[in-house]
Amino acid sequence: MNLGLGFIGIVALVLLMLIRMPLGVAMALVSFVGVSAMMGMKSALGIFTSGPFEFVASWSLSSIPMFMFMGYVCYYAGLTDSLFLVAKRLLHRVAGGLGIAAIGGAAAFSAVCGSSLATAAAMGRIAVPEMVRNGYNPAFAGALVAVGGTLGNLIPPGIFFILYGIFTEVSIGKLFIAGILPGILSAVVFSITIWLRVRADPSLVNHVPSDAERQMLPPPSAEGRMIDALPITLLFFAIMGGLFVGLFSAAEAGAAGAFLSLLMAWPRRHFTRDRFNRSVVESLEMTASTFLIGIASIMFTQFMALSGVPDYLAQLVVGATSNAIVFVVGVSVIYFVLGCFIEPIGIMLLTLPFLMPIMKHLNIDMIWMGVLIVKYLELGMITPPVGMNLFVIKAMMPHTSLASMFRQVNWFILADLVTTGILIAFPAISTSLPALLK
Amino acid sequence: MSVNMSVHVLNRLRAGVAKLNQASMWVAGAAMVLMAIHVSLDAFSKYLLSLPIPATLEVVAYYYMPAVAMLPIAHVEARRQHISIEILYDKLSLRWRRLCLIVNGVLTLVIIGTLAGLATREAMRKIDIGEYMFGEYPIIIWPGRVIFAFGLVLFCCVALANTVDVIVAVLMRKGPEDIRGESVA
Repeated sequence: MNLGLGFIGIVALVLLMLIRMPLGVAMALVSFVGVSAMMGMKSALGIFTSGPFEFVASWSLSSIPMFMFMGYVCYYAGLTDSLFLVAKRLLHRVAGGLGIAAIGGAAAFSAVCGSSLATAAAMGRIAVPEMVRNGYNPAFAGALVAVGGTLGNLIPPGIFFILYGIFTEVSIGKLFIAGILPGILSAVVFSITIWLRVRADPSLVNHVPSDAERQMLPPPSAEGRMIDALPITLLFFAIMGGLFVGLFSAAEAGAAGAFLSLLMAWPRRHFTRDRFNRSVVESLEMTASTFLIGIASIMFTQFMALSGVPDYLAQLVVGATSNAIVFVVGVSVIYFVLGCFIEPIGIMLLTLPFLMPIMKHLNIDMIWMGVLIVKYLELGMITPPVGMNLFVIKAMMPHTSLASMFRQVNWFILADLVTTGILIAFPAISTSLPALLK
Repeated sequence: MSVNMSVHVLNRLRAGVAKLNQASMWVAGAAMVLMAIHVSLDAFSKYLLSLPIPATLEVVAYYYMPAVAMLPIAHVEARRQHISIEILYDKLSLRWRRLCLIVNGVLTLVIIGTLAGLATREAMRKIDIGEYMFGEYPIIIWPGRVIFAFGLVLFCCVALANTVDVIVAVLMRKGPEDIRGESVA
């Protein structure tokens, strides 16, 4: 009986999502009606009285707004522009060097920002005009910056890791550290892809900008000096070093990162009152959207647990295969498909109630799985038709079609599949660094 | 009451909700900046001077977090920016899109209204008993519940205003450009 209600709830949830009901509202509604049908309205009211507040009133989750704030302050203050400019100087002789510098800049920005969108936006603002000015095909330039944005969550800090850690009760610090090597691997594979693409098709970097494109270009950037990149590099090592040696909790690291980036941004003339306000408002908007889904997913997890659907599915999967690799590959296919249509945070919080019992049954390393899930979610940021990173870049490039960017992104999606294969085949890439932590 | 009069009253109500929303964003923004400063000072003072700021954890959990996470949800709803899937919606005709918005609005009011009611009742109960966190430094924590409930109530007000907007647009045969979230794909 309850199992049937659970499955009806899942179908209802899909239908509500299809009529554009906000994901958080749809999950809460289905959960409330489902629990009421199973246990009566009075019990449902009792169950959902304290859970939502207890989820929000959380010390650990304070790291989410703090890391978002840190990322937006760095973005609006242009604190990380120097990272790209230094990388550009170092790589100017390499084929596709400017594109590789954009990936390097994105990787470095990811180290102070936990949001893929902010990372893509930051690099889009500085790296895309530089590339177009230097003859890069605009669609190629936009695509590779959108791809660079996917490092935002994998390289610590990352909002996806925080949410995964909260829901699976895995140490957020360990998850952060686990993301470092896979993040670097992803950046290397992207860079190799750029190099190969430029070698195979030199026209990608021999584009003559049209008049309309030229008018959109800001003045050329100054030469990158190592010294300019020093403060932001020190910020990263202070925050991550503190986490790594156990000096800071994730919540303290987030707050210290936000506070220090504010101190660094304040004296900069570039960081106007308007830019400060925008960094605050955008951080709040992202935080509120995330928490609405978070509250709803707490309710949905309770509904699913009462219905018995996750255990039923776990038994089905375990009965069909006891091979963790088969399960992990199956999950990657599901995430790849869902990633084409649903926002990453929604996918993760929607699927974790089903995946967790199966992971426990199959004795899968939760840190390894966390890295893989974050990698899958990041891939969803660039897969059509809902590739959020590309939408952000497209907004900055009115003369370049989204379709042409998606065509260029396909090569990087293939590269990402290779990276994912490597991460599945060699779990130690994800688990060796966290094993060093106490 | 004429249709124009009703629209006038609705516009006044909408303006009031918009002001509340703006004030909430200010409070949430201030809470976020204060949280960054407060926790950083606590961390530095704890590790460098062995002098932690009392009750930091409780203040973060029960004051800053409800403000930062819940006060802006109405602002996000006002801009129809809560995470949703638009893949089918974008392909619908204007008439069907409006129907979706109205159904969504009514169902949102039902569930968020229920949660807001529960949260408000709980907040009142905690005010009555003067809820506080017992520890080395006892601290009153019921204000966090009030902020949480207020965020949900404001969310309901915005959802109501958005839904009424769409209904008025249907009744007055307005074009899609007059309604937020209805732009033709």
